[in-house]
Amino acid sequence: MNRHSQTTALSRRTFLTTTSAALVGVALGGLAPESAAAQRHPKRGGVLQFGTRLDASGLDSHRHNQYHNSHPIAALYTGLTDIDQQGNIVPGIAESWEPNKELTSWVFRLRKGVLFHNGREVDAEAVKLNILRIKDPAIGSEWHHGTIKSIDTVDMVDKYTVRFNLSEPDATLPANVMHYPTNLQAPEAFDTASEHPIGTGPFKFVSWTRWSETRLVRFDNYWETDSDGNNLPYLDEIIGKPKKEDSVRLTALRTGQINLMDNMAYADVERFKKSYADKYNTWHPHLGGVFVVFNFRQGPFQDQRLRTAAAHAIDRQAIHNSVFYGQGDMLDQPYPRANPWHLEGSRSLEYDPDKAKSLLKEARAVGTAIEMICYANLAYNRESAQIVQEMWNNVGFKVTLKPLDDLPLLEAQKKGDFHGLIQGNSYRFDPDGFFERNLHSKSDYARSLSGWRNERYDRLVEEAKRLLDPAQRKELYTEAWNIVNVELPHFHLHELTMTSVAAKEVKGYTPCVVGSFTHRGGGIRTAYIEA
Amino acid sequence: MLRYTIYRVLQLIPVWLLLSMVVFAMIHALPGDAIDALVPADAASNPATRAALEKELGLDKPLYVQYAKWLERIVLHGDFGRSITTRRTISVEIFRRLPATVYLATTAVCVSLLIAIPLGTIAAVKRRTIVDYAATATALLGVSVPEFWLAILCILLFALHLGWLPASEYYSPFDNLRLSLLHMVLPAGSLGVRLAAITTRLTRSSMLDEIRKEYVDTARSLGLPERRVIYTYTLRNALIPTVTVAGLQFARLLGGTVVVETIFSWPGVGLTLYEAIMGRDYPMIQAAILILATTFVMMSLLVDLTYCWLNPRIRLG
Repeated sequence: MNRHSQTTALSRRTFLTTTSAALVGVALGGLAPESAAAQRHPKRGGVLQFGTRLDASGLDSHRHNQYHNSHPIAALYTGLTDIDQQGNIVPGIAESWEPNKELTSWVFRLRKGVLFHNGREVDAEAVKLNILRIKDPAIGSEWHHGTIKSIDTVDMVDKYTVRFNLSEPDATLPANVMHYPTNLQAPEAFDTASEHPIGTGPFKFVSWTRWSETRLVRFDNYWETDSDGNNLPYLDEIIGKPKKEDSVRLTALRTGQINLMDNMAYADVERFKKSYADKYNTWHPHLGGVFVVFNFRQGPFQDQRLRTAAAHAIDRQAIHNSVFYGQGDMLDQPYPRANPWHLEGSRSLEYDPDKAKSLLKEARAVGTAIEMICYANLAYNRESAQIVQEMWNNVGFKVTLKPLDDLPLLEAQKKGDFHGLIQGNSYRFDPDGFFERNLHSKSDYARSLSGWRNERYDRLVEEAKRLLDPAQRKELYTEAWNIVNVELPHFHLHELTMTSVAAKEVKGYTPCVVGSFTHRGGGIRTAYIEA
Repeated sequence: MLRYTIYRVLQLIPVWLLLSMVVFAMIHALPGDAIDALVPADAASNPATRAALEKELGLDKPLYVQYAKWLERIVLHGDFGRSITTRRTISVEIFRRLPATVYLATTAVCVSLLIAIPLGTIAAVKRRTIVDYAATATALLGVSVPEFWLAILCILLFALHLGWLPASEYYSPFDNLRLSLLHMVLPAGSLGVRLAAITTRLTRSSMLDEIRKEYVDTARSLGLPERRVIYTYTLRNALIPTVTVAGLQFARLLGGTVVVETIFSWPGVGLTLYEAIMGRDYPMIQAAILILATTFVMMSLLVDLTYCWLNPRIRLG
């Protein structure tokens, strides 16, 4: 059984066995029972100055994505479940959970004594109120809303037990109630969440000036401890310093203005590692992927021969070298090779420009005008689009590339006002978050992408959602992905990775393999600054 | 002069009203919908949800009603409303950032004048000498160099390699004057150098015009020291166009320093306005433009009043 199967997809017996082991693990190290005296580590502390490429667009974590890779404000929150350093779903505020036989309801048992930053205890009522707020379509963002859409009603079984009743069988729920994005806010502070958010995370809010500074201080009553029983986190304070420009962020690191940064530019990585390995630690977590979307709603790509030709025309190696400077992996599916959800039996189209040309001739489509859109403000997206444009032109298409700002692109996407689109996805802790959301015919997001419909694909993905066993789910996803590889609503290009760098004075820090800077037993929870 | 000042302040009212109408109309003509930017696609296309959101944000009324309500709130309550994106009070957001923008703009213009006036004057006095050619070439180079390129170059040289100055960030002069000035050098310098290039050429040509006038010959023939002729009499008259341009440059800097603010992590209004435009945050855009425009008009008034000080013969109004 692989690591991932210990968490998101378990047989009942395995689940109970693993949960018992986890609870034993709790006693040995990581989580102190309520009765244990909390204590600070006598020597570890300091102020982390965290330079990020991004900044939150708002403080209300139910309205605005608090991206746990690049928004320091995400350190305010934890969720019912958590992730460990390998990206596995592990207990968080909920110490255990189990589904009914049909997977139509899940019972979560909450850890006692977990507090919000305002001192209120996290109980079943608080969980219910949070879920209801996220489900409010006028509040929950598209991301939040879609993640827990299978939750129909929430019952408070007792003070520390909550039951989610689902609209359909759903094996993925534990992954979807993790702090990203289903984080918990203090219900009394819902109305002031945009000014002063109150979460349950290891740090609490002090101030936020957008694109300038985020200040967080240690939450002394955070529930997690280290193996010696010392309270986490160690750090006294985190100061988030968003710096959009890659060179500015890197300079700030090298001049000591920040001691941790994310998203080093791909072009800088190798040279930096060679020159400064003695002064800095680097990591390369996986973030997601980039892919081509073919529009099925209108335009020339409604013809499968043209889609196939376009796919054969793409040389992923060229994108790997020119856009990503050798960072990350060429991908023909959502999950990279090292990931438990990587599909071994997937068959993707290879680079074959001659075949592309002959397909176009056969379809009498040489010189077909193609309108491609991409994000103007995302360098990897824009550059990938430019290379794809060149490749398609070389085999006989006539491609016009329109880089667009976010909103005009969203509008064009919604209206289907494109033939090809370069899109990206962030990591999904459960594959249903990708396979269903991006490609199922009933998904609004999928409809706004390719608009593709395939009944067999839909059935396979729906069936996978009803299974706990990861091996069985992978089989279904493999079959589903092979349909995608033939019909080509999407064509995957490359993995997105992030290079995260910390000065050597930052001790005890390792990001999660999927990029989160806050995770169980690690990240900023165990980081400290060496004096 | 008092009457003129009052007259100019009163003129602000119709200017401001007209500006508010233009800003409001232009912003609502932008492609892209604020509701689409805020909520899921399925919610945005759900009529009930859309209606509820439009009501909450006041977008359900006809445009002229929205305009009237918005204007009423500002005039009677000083309330610019809440940002659609962050849901925070706009007044707090903008007025918290405005001092940083004004500080940067003022310092950049001062830097430019400190460079441009002496350089332009010397170039005019030493016309067609090596000094003049050097000053003109420097000015040409300054005009040609993009601000963001110069900014990044300055960071690499002064912050990274020499370690003399900090690379970015802002400190209020009221919190820590020393740190504030240290952090101001690079952003104000990169902006100021480019402005100085334009102002140098203007000062030079303005000085050349003044130097040729009869009163200068008269002053010299009266035996006044050359330094006094140039700096006390000629320069004062030559500065009027320079002051005008400095005022316009200041106004441009108020809203036009997005790139420099991004590079130096400067918490100014420029970057806020840019983000608001990208997110179709209508109330924030309207408020930011109005506030900047008002500051600009006040600055124009200040420039006009400066003319009187430079040349008491000028009668305003």
